[in-house]
Amino acid sequence: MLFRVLPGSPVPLGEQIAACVRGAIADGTAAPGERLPPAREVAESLGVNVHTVLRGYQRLRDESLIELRRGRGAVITAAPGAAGQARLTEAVHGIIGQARELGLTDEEFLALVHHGLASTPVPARPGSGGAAH
Amino acid sequence: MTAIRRGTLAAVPYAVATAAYAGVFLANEDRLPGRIATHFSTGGGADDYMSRDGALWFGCALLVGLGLLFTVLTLVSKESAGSRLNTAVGVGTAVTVGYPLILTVLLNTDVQDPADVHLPLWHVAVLLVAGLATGALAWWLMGPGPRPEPAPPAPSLPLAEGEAVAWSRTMMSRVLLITAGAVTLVGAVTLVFGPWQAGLAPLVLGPVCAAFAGVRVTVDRRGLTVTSTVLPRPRLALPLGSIVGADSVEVDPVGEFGGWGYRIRPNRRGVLLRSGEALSVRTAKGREYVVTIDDSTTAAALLNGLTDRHAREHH
Repeated sequence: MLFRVLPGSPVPLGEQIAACVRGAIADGTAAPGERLPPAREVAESLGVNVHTVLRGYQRLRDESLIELRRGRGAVITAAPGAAGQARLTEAVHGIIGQARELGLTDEEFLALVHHGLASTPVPARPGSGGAAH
Repeated sequence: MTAIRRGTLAAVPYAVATAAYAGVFLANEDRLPGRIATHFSTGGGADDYMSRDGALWFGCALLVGLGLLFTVLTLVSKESAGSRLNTAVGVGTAVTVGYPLILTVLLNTDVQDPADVHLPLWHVAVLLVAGLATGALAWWLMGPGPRPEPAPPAPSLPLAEGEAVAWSRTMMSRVLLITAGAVTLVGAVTLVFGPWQAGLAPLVLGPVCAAFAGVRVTVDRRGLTVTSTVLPRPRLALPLGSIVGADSVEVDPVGEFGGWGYRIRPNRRGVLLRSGEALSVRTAKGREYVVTIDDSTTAAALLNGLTDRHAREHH
């Protein structure tokens, strides 16, 4: 697991740490079941506060990308679709960054997303339309 | 020269020597006495004897055995530095052993009483010189082997000023873990059912082994750290300032280090839990550290990036 953070960046350090793990899950360099280094060790390595690292780990747990267990540390989830979920979250962060660059307000951006959702039909899920056959 | 060709080079002299010995023996069998002189004193007179068939089998077994030994040694040592010497010594030994064996047969030919057989001492000088010469010839024939082609400079991860980076990964040796578990179990069983003194050592040794079945490798602003996943000490720490460069390599623990675990070789240290991918780190003192770990290319690139930045900041 490779962590790269810029202390001078406007993005909070915890978010940057979460982004490193998310990116590794998205591109497959971090495999399901892989154990993340203990927060204390990451904090020592990066020279940041241990709570900052824990905030990043908690963010990943909220996104269901890792499991935090007492005594076992942080483990990348083995649930199917985690990599896809991570890629989607990355993409969302990407378009939010673009929207901010263009100076869109949050309302304008959300309206854009709503409009996009409304004009895109929900595809039939494979396996859920069994009765129609 | 490839390992297969070196193995052939080690095997052929023994095949030739065995064939020559058996050939000369069988061709002269009718003219040999029932008991033949096989050992000679420093004066050159015979002082030990063997039956005719016994001598034939002994000679062939000795040559075939030595041949197998050196061929296997050569094949096992593969491309490592010792392989060339192994083969050269093997070829030289074939001559040094084959020559007196055949000579013994020739000396015993047409002799009535084996006690009369006399071995002129100058043959000893001949066989030693001939052995050295053929060994040297084999050494020269093999050449220095495939020079490790000058590896392209290992990639270096460009780092921004002030960027904080860390790479960390664990490596678990399942074989070591199972072995340690088995040792502990044996200790516990002996402690309960056998003499308790005998059970104590394995009961302590097992958990200690288990503690080193998993290692964590960390690359960060402090350099390289290798430590057990459960114990904080002992640890292997190489500060950034002492590191010259890093690379991802393929390691063969048996061929290059003579086994697994923490291995010490001249100018090389190894933390080896398996064969295959490993991180290789060179220090300013000219020493190389090899640590088996997955994704070692990332670790090496990051270490190179950190070393470059460290050098920029301190010069």
